[in-house]
Amino acid sequence: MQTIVSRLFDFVGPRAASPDFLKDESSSHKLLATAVAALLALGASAMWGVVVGAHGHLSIANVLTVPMLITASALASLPLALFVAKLTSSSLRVTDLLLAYVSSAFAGCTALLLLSPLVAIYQQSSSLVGSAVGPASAFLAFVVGAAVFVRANAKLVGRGASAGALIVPVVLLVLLQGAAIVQLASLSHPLFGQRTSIGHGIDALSQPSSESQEP
Amino acid sequence: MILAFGFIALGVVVVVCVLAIRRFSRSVEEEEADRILRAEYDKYSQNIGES
Repeated sequence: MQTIVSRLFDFVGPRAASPDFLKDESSSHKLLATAVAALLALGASAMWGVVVGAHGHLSIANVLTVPMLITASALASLPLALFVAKLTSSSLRVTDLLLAYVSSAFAGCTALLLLSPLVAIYQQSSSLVGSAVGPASAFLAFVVGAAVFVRANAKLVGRGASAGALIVPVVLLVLLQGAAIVQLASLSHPLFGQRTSIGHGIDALSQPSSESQEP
Repeated sequence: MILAFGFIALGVVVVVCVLAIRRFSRSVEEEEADRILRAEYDKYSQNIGES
């Protein structure tokens, strides 16, 4: 397990060469790393939910709600992106793209978890930025995850997949996941105790002052 | 309704991940054992050939 996690960090890190398990013909290493990264990402997001939603019962609900948002948005966006990836590239393996996606989700959720103490401090102590720091941390973690996903795919380019063929599914996946997670957040209960502007989903574009209308 | 599907999907993903870890960790261990065995066999046959 420790080896798998260290290989995952190698994969999401700046090291130019791909780790050994990407060079293996067997997909067992890749699928094992994918499953471990998925569970770690869900665990980290659940812990972030507990910390940032520490308003009584909400934090307990966030244990399930935050991983659910990530899982459901991934399931809403991943199949289409994988389909487009298979249409645009003949050399790209689905397991490679899946590993790149899940390991970048792992990086994003780890960033989310590491930001959570700061978010909790500001939420409890600041009236100026207290309500904005939670969504800001989620946005920052999303940016981290997207950046790591682009870099992980750049490593896949070195394994024979063409860069042009990867651009379309990568951009599509990032956009779809962002759109899905924002809209799903508008359906679930407020993660931060009060519904923020992001929590209104796409309708927030037509209601810029809705944050002050709804508790 | 969509959220219920989301929670069900979360449960399914967690179960699949746990089963995948159990399944593929066994495969990885077997592959590692095969690789070590093959390396030992190659070294042994090379020594036999030299002698």
